[in-house]
Amino acid sequence: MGILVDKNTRVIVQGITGKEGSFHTKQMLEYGTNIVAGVTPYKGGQEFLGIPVYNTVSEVIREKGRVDATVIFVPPKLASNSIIEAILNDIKIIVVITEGITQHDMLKVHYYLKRSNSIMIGPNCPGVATAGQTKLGIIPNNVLSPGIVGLVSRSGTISYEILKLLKDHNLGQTTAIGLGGDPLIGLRFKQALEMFLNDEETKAVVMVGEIGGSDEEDAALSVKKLIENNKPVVCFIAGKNSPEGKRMGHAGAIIMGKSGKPEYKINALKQAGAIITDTIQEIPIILKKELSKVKLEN
Amino acid sequence: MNLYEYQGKKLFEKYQIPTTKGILIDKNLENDYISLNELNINFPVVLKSQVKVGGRGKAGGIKVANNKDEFMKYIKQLFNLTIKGVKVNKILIDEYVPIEKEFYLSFIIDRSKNQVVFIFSPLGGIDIEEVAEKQPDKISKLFFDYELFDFQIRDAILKVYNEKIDVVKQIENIALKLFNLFKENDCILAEINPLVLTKDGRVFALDSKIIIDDNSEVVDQYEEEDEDISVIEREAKVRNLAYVELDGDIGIIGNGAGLVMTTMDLVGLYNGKPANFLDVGGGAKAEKVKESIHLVLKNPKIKALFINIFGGITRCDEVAKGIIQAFQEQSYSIPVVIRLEGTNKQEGKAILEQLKELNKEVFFVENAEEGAQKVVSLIK
Repeated sequence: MGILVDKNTRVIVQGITGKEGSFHTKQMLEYGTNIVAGVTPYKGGQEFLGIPVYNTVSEVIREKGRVDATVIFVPPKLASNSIIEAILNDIKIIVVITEGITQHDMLKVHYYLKRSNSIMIGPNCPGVATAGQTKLGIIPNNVLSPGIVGLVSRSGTISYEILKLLKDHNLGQTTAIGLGGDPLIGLRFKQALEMFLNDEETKAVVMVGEIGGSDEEDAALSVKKLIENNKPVVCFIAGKNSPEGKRMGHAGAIIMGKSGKPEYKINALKQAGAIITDTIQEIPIILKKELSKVKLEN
Repeated sequence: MNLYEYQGKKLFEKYQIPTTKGILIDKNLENDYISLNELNINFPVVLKSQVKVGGRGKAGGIKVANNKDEFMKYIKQLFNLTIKGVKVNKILIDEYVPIEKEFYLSFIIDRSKNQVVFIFSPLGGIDIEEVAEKQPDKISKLFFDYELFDFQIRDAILKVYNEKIDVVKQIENIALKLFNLFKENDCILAEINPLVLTKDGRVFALDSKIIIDDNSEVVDQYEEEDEDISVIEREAKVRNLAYVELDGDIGIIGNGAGLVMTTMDLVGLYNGKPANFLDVGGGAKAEKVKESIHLVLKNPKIKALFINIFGGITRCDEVAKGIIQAFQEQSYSIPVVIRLEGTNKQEGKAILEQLKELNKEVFFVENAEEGAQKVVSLIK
């Protein structure tokens, strides 16, 4: 099963003809994603890898019918308008890959998002993939494998590495979600964990946080619920050795005053019952151990 | 990017927010320094070190001079001062204002709510987090999406201050102007602390704290004046590389912000000290990897380098080419630890075989943890 997206999800790509958009559309098609159309203003009528391109999202819906999800590769200055376009067209899942959108642009996006039924993932994220079914975004195809672990992460490369480890250890994934490295994001740990709680196929969850903000702390209660429902949670927090007040690559990875420190996150998650690990290598081993404990108890 | 106080006050002037009229002097412009003696100053004046780090008052970075002798003495003192590792290069000579009352006023983007928050308090001049802890009833907070109206501000002020209605009116006016500044300059934070009421009933900004979104073009115009960053950090900005200088001796290069932070954490776990953070980004080409190595190794403190790559979209062979090119162009003599995993790992490793001819101390490791252990052992 997995969460958010599956093989039936009808996907469009906004910014399909750009450098990033076209490269990753090809990758997504190879993975089996059901891409029904692309959108690039004033390139309507063209085709890209056999996918028809339209000028607006509304035009796609008029011509092709229902759209469930969109992946946005539009450059940062134009991206907020593209997100709002998707929201106003009632697209349920909006994945924003673009890095570099200003926070003031995102405030406007969130005004519309709050008044809609859409779920936004990102910006500045690798996207979401339900292994063996569909992939929306840029997670490398070769690290995905169907299995039983849900992954939710604020860091791209770290999650690819964990996905590969899960594959190598025959654990695999249900759904992998990259939440994004920006401060103002859509889907956050709390909601993602609740979705994994309700997904039957997800037997354990790996959560990758980093310095900045308080989303990890805010998710503590959801972590607790997962554990109470026999779904072990393993957490990894990046940035324990990072200085205060400096932006560590991601716009959102910054400790400001008392906010965003790694020890707060680690303490909150530990108290909720999660297992905290310092090294990624250990994750599959911890998972196997915890999963066998759950089996024994049942 | 944080602005200096004087830059913030320039913005205040532009937006007609009443503020003090100061004179900026620069250590590196000797003419300025000499002509100080001829400056016509009405004493007392406040001398304020222009640094971006917090706590300059506590560090002795602010002085009140009552006469010319004190003035010259303090100027020399402040120019010799280092606050939290940052040298004082500029001083703002500011008006001394007789204060009746101090307020706090700010606009901040709240990342957990995806909203803006307007904060006002009649207890200004001190750390607002301290006020929040000790007297939360003296803080008024107004959350909003991105539009704000005058009546909302008025009401937020009146909730915690309603003594002098004329003062409320002045504060409302300043808040509206500050909000325009906040919006039009892509600010993450715009703070006036303290906002003061003078003995003669005027309200104005005595200090400024402005943080601008690094994703905004607005930061470009302030980059050249930024003296709080190192020479290498400045070059990294020009080359568009995500680099942060730290005070250790192990150079770190990786792909992805989280992976680089994790590499630093692992080095720390084995009691090593990272000299920097450098993220080559996703899908980096050989050229970018080469540039990154050259940049990181400009730091003379570095005794060993750890390159940690997990290839997803980034290809290990491309990274390997970049490493070889860097060592061909310059014969660096420091030991290098390399970990390559993921896409095109074997091709990358084959290319790196050449590195052994260029650099005798090169070590290949299978995972990040092993690499961290190795690189730390090399400098001991």
